[in-house]
Parts: sequence; structure tokens; C-alpha cells
Amino acid sequence: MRQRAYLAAAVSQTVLLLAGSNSSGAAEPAVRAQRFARLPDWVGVWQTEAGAAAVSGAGARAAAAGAASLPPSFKSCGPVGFPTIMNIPLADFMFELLVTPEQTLLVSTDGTVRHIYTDGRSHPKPQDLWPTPAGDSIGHWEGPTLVVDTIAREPGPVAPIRGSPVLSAAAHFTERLHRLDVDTLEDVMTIDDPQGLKQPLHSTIRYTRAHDLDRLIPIDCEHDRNIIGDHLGIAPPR
Amino acid sequence: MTTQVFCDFRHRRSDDRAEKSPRSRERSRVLAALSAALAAMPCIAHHTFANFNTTKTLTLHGTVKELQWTNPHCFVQLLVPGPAGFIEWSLEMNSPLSSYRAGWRPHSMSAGDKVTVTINPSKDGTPSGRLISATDASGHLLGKPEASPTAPQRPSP
Repeated sequence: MRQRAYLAAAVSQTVLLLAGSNSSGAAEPAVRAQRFARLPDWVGVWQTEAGAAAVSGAGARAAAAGAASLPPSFKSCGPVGFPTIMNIPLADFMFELLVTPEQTLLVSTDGTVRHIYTDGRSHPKPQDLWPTPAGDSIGHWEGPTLVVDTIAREPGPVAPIRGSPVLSAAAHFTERLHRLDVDTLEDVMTIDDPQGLKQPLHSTIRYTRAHDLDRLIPIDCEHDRNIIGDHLGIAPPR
Repeated sequence: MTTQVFCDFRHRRSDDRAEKSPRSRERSRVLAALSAALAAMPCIAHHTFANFNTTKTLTLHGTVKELQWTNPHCFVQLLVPGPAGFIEWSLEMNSPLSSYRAGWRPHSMSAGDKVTVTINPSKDGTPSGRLISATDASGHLLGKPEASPTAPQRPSP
């Protein structure tokens, strides 16, 4: 009787090992380590090439020359959501990527977080889904390329500026994210939205790794002293 | 190697990327204008710095009251002697993130420090401006100077 119990336990353990998961659904450490080993190393703080150029000073000169073209009420210190965080040429917008077997986590300086689930799941059922700033993302790996599928992004402009194409809640985003070299990532993105666009939008976005930052530093609007509107100025110190 | 910002998204058919109809050319012009608008708000921030006179530079000598290491922008509160006592200037910097990357730290300046700053003054005549560069009492540069049409060049190392 006892031998039969041991045998049953051994068979059960073997099945679990073969499946790579324990009873809680988490992978066994050795199996998970193997899965980790197959993933690319995207450690670092990344920013769009245009954002990196802004840091060099050329962007500041462009700002002085073209500031009048911006909406006076524009504020870029708050969360800008997806997909803007993936393609914004501002110095303060950067992100870190945490690549795990179960999901890739993208954390932006503006507080936006993207969870890209790579555990084989599907998107939630339509009745269980609602629009959010980052949408719902699932992905899978094709070699070193992360293929991402995102839906349920809040309707609104692609970018928070005047004249930007406006997307509906039915917009569908596909991305192919991969590393070109040790300091360059590339995201090839397509936006399909039959309700909001006459034809798909395509973009290829490149990111460079920042070597002058040791961590991700958040941005927010907490201590905003800028007076905007009819009169532009600085509020007195608090 | 270039980066297309969202405004560079081409409204084009995925099966015909070389489409050059008048309609598509018009879209391209619109999107190029959007691209310029986004690219024009770089280093910075949440407004355009349009309230500063970027063609004018002032040099101020004063005593630090406070370095406000805050989002969305840092500020230096500087006490500058005037004919009727001290005048407190509010000098705007970039975000903590961008300032940190430029070599600034929360304690780069402390209350009581004697500093010399160059600024783009506000257009409205209030004692405020955009901080371009700062040096301590020994003449050492604090952080990396801001790029500005009127900013002094950074000294060679």
C-alpha cells in the first residue's frame, strides 16, 4: 500500500516536471531557468532615438524654434499612455524592460506600465475586457523577436497633439520588438483600426540604451509651477 | 539611422507603400507638420518655455535660498541683492530626470551657497527665468549647461 502511494507520488512528480509546472501553475525552477536562458537580454533604460537626440542639445534648439506650434495647454509630465510612450521624442520619456518567461514588463518614466503576457494565454473575452491607457497585450517569441498583440486601448489620438489621428476602442496594434545591436532596440508597429483609420498606420521606432542613468527616474506633475493659458509665467515659490 | 515619431506614421496602404496620390501627399504634409511639432518639444517638458526670452541672457550673482528638486521641473530660488534689499528669483530647470542626466544632484546647491547663474529671463518682467548655467563660488560649473541659442559654450575639459 505504502509502495503504491510512493509510486503514485513519483509518477505525479514526473508528470509535473515534464509539464514544467507545479500544482500552482508556476514553472519548476530548473525548467524556468532554461526558459530564462532562451530570452534576450534587454536590461537597461531605453529611449527613442529622437528623445536621446533631445538630450544632446539639438532638440532644445528645435524647441526654441518651433515652440509656437504646440498647444499652449500641453503638459507632458503626466502619463501619456500607449502607444505614445513607445514613440515620443521627449527627453523625459524612457522605459525599462523586464523580460521573463511569463511576461515582458515595460515600465515607463511617466508611470505607464505594459504587461505583455507570453505564457500562451489569449486576450480576455470581450465581455471581460474594457479600454485602458495601456490596452491588453499578449505576445510570443519568434526567436529573439517579441511579437506583441494589443487591443482594448482607450479611444483617442495616437499622440497628444493637435491633428493626431484619432483611434477607436477597436484599434488593434501589432509590434515586432527586437534588438539590432547591444545598444539599439527596434519596434516595428502597425495600427489597424477600421473604425478610426482609413488604412493601417505603420512605424519603425528605434531606441537607444542610456549610459548616463543608473535607474529609471519617474516624472510627474506634482510640483507644477507653470502658469499657462492667457498668461505664461512661473508661480511664486510655495 | 532615424526614428519616426508617431506623427511620421504613414497613412498608407500596407500593400502599396509607394502610393503617391495627391491625397497621400497631403497626408504626408500634415504628418510632417505634426512630426515637427512633436520634435520641437524636446528637452523638456511639459510646456514650451515660451514664456522665456531665449534671445536674451542675464547673469545673476546671488545666494541660494533653495534648490527645489521636484517634478515636473526643478527650481533654484535665488536671493539677488537689489537697491531695496534682496529680490527672490525663481529659476526653472529641467525635470529631476533630465537634470540628473546633466550631472545635477539634489544637493548640488544648498541654502547659503554663493553662485553665479546665467538665465533666459521671463518675458513678463517678473524675477524669474530659465536656468542656463550655474557656477559655484569657486567658479566650478554645476551640472551641464542647458543648450540654448544664447547659452555660453561648455568649457572644454
